[in-house]
Amino acid sequence: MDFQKDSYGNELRLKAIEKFDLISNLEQLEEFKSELLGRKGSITDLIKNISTLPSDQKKDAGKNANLIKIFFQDLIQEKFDDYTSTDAEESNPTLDFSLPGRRKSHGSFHPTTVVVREITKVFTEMGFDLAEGPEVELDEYNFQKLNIPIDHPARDMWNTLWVDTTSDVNIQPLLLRTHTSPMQIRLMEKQNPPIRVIVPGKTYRYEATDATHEWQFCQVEGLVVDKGITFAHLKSTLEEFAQNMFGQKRKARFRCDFFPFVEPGAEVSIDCFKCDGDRDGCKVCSFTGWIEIMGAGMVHPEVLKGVGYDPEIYSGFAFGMGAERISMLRNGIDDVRLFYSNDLRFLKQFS
Amino acid sequence: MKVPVSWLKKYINLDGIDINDLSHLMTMAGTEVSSIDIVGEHWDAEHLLVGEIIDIKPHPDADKLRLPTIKLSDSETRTVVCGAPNLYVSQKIVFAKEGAYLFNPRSNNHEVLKSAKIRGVESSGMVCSSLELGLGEDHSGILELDSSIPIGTPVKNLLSDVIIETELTPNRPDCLSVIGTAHEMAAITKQNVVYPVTSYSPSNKKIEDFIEIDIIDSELCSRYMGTVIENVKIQESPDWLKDALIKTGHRPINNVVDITNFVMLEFGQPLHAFDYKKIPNKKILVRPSKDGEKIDTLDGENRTLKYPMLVIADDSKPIALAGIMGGSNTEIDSNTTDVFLEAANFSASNTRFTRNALNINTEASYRFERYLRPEIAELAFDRAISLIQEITSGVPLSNHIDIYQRTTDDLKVAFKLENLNKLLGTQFELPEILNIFESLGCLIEIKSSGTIFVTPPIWRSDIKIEADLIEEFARIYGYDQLPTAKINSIIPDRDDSTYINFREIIRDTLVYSGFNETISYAVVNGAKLTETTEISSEIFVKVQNPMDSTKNVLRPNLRVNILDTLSNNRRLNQSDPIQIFEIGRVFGEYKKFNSQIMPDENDQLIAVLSGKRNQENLWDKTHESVDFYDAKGVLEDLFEATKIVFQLEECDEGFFAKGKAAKILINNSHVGNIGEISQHSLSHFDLNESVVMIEIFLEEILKKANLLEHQYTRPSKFPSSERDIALLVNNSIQADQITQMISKNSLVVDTFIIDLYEGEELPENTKSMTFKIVFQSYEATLSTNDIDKAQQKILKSLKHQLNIDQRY
Repeated sequence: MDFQKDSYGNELRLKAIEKFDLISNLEQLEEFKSELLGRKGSITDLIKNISTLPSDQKKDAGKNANLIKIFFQDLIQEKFDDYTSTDAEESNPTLDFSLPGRRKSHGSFHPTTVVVREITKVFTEMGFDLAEGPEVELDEYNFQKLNIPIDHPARDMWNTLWVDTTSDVNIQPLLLRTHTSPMQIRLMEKQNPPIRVIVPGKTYRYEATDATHEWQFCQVEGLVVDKGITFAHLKSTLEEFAQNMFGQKRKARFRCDFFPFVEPGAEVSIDCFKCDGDRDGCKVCSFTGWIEIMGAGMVHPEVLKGVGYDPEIYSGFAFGMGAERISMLRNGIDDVRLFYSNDLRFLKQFS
Repeated sequence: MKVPVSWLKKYINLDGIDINDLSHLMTMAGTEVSSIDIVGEHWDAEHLLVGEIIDIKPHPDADKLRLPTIKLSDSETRTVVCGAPNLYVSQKIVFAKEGAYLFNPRSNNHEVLKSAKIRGVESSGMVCSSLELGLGEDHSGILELDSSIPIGTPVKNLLSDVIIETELTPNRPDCLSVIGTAHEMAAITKQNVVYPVTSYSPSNKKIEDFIEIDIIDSELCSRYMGTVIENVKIQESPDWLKDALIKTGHRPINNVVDITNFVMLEFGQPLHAFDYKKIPNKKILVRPSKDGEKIDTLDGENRTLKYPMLVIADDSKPIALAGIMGGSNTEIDSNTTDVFLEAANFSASNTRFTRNALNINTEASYRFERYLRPEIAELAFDRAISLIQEITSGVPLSNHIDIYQRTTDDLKVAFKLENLNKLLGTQFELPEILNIFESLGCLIEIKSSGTIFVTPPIWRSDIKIEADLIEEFARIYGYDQLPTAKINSIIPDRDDSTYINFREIIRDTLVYSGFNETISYAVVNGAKLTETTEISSEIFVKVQNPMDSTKNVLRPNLRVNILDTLSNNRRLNQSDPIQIFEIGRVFGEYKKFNSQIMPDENDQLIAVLSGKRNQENLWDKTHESVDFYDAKGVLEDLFEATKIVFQLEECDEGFFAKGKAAKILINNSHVGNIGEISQHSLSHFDLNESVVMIEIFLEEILKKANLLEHQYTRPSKFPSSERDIALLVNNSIQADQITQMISKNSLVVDTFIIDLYEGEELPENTKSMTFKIVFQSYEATLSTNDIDKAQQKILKSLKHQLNIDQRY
């Protein structure tokens, strides 16, 4: 090309546009790009040639050549994008949706935390407050004020781990609380009725461990005291809990049971959520159709008197349940020892 | 307790009652039936019959085997091979024909009986032992039947039984007896209980000529009845008696001992029989033992006693542990001719104290410690005398001793209908309630004033107050039949829950940043603890009777727990990295809370990271293993989530690697620690990797931090600009000092380190740090000139105050 004649590159531009319109694939585009913008390309030459022009033309020619260069660069890039994007769609039309996604690694909550939070949520929505208490308790609170005197046979229901207090004669007998019930006393001593509270917490028993027994476990205690609280309220409240926790169609069953700090005392079961309380039952309900979930009862008049409440005026009910047991039932865990052995292969299943 | 239905039927009519349905009702009413066992479930009327031995021939080839001929009907006899030693002609036995389904002691399985050739003699069928029939453990000889039973009677009709097993709560010792169980069934099915008839023919001798009894401490023994029965013949018990004991899980011993056990099971009242002739000087004392006194008990143990364990003693030594076990020095044996029979009521708490201290649990102590009524003693006493005469042909004396400290307590319980309806939330009428009280055996008095008094029956020791009566009504009526009602009173005010909310946010934050929550046991190994903490072992709170004697210290922090967990998981070949935490109670020094001295309990958090780092996008990729800054990142996350400002200050505790740990401070209070654990500390846990830890005293934070609601900052309307500046910094200067200085400039809204470089080409003892600075104004868009000026000002003060130069 004679650059002397076409020192402003106008001819070059027109011819190149004609040629550009004929391009039909990526290969031709690459070739076109090299012819124009490559090391020996015509635009490259055009720019090189500017230095040979008379000085009065140099400025305009330079400006012009640069515009042409930018014009084609953009044009080529645009076409290039077209080709490459269509190519991608054609060669790989859909993603493999089964490949695992990229995620941030999350940790896991301990299964006891999971179930305690669920129980807590159900009760707080029913107007219950939340409290916690000491894990090392006085014999007085764990037993005596709960109507369980020293050398009473009911103490066999709670095999006890005792704290060594031999170092100081001023210390009253201490133990690792065998249930969360001492908090009933502490709460009632601290405040006047009305009370509506649950107390989750660790409890301890001197008990050989096996698949269904663990010496350390978690209980959730509940206490309601006010004027006019009745056994009918106990039944309704605990049935509502069972339904919110295990499904609205659950039925609660109440049978007579004995705990020294309540009278009347009850054991609460629900119809099995696995087999729907089928007559023949299933493995979860030990083939009975019913699953025992907690102990309960009307607060014993002696207990009320002991904290200075007048049983003629106030009445109340209390209940207590084992958290791990509920978790085991729901998640099909068949060995309670898994809870506190902290094997990450177990724990990571509760994220 | 195991209760055979055949035995129950002696006192209550159960015809037409389905035992399964009744058991369910008992369970609902509080007397839980835990199992129902059918004896002779596999017996069939055709293959198991009563037969009579009419001839016995020796086996031609074996000395120990014989060939009895058994008559099954007038037209059918069988001859079989039998190895039992107790065969005799005219004996009534259980005969099993070929095809019977029996227990085979050799294979330990139930099998169909087949004919066999035994030492050359064909044998089709067999004479059965108790074991083969599933009636008991006895396989030493065949089971002998009462001679009056006609031959050909199906055994199914004769011996099959149903045994219910009850699981009783500690308040119901009355149901630790067959008659007590019958009473419970009677209340549920609205029937009556018929007591066994007791009658005997005494001699005209007087007890005063035989023995003198003295109770030293009547607090510990409210009633003591005793008499002597002469000329007893000690033998094996009759089959019905043995059968009753075996079905309830007891081993027959001899007729007198078996009778005392039988009557205990029948009435729930423990009895004891002494060999009268072995009691020297014919004087009995019921007294607390002296410290160091000894007795050989019937179980063959020599026991050392202490005050105030109650004993039955002669004039010099104990002859029985009262209410628990007899002494071997007065044991009934085959030569016994005269028996001293005791029926007493011993203190429940003393019985429990003694059996706990001596670590023995007997059927007698189990009943006494549950509070028996003294009235039952006389029923059982008469019944036992009557049976002893009937079975041993012994002769009782014309009278007996009965030292009875009648309680002055009024057993009557006042009852008001309105209180029942108030507690149950019901509207029952009086007759319905009184009906149920009566079915339970209560006596009812209605005073002219309208006051109702209810006297519980003599077998119940647990009905003391009105609430007990309300439960009695409710359980028999059926808890499930009682109404339900929503609580309609107002929801009480809630307590401050700031702390629990705060702790749960911490828990959430850790889980969402990749940590696995663990919960471990509250006790740890004392030696490991000493290696990981500077807390003095003198203030450790210890468990007296730990499950595992090597772990008896209530944890004062969570370090041993979390490192044990880490180590256990490494052993299980968990792959890198491990990030775990625990939030739990720790136990500090004893403190006085009001007037109560208790350990100071607090919640702590511990989190550890170990192994290789798995996070990307960190400013520093030069280390592969986790280090201090990984832990610090977590700490920053936690405190950002709870809007708490903290400072760090070097911590020199030996548990941590030197120079790589810091105390966490909030408003200058120590609220935790963060750092790399020293290899020495880790070696106690078999860990050989880098482990960084965060430890936070959760409740302390709440006391020190200002947890006011966060106040918002209005965002500027104008854009921000960024500049990066590289600085040459002396090694002794910490990044914080620089960011603080940069932040002082009023146009700086944020600054953070984006590069740290330490290399040999830098001047000695220096590092290169690059900070990004974000400038922004609330008034205007900043010009290049504004920013240049601000930057110069910053560089100037860095040079001036920290001697830091810009690096180009």
